[in-house]
Amino acid sequence: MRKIVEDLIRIDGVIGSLLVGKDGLVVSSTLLEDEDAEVLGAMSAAMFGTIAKAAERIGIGALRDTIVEAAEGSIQLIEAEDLILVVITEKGVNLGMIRIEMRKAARRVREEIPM
Amino acid sequence: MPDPTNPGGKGIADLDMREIVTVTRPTLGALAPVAAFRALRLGGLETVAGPGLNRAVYLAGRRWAQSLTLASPADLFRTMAEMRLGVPKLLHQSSETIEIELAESLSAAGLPAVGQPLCHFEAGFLAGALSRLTGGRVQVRETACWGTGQQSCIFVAKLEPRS
Repeated sequence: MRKIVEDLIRIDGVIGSLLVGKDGLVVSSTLLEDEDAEVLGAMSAAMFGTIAKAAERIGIGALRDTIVEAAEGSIQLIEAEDLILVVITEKGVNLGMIRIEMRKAARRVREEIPM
Repeated sequence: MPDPTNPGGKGIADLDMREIVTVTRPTLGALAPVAAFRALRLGGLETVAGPGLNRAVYLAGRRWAQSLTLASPADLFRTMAEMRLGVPKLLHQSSETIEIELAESLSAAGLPAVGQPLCHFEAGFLAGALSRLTGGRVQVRETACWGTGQQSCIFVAKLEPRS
């Protein structure tokens, strides 16, 4: 799992990546400070969980991924079984390309999870 | 023009734990029904975010415990019972792990099984308190719960070496 998260940070414009449980527990992170990873992991799960509940409530089905664009960058989250892959980017990056790479990474995560 | 509803200009996120736990209720005191906590935790947060807020609840419990002055494990257990978080009992201890049973847990005692542990707040509280007592990082996982069909809750604390 560590390798998958580390591969994502090598993409141009990506400044952080982590893999967290849907309950917010950090599985792997490229962030330097454990404290940052822990708080961002909790926030990512809260974000994903809230949007997933909204999607369910609206009746559009299970949430697969989400992109949050902000003034100085973006956060992208994608589901991988019981985990969420999170990538933080600088502004002005190719969000579509990063999304494609995240989908590939999510597939690798699913393959590594024992059945 | 200063905001009359917020003369200090402080937001909720700026409150420290001492301010958060200050209670001015001369008639009613500092304790509230378990039902109030559960209505918020399970009736509110869970409905809005599912398991997504479990870690936030864990971190809230940890932050609170880290703000307390605890002299010993016995002091921690006494404090948890006094605060009505549950009745803790030490099951097993080694240099790497501590196993604690919590009877009558705030979050879950009496609930039907729902296929998942529910005491994230208590787990975080134990993590914060044990971290204060040991001086190292502590991760706590709940291994048995009313939420998974047991009649008490069991927590395993993993002690990480001091950095």
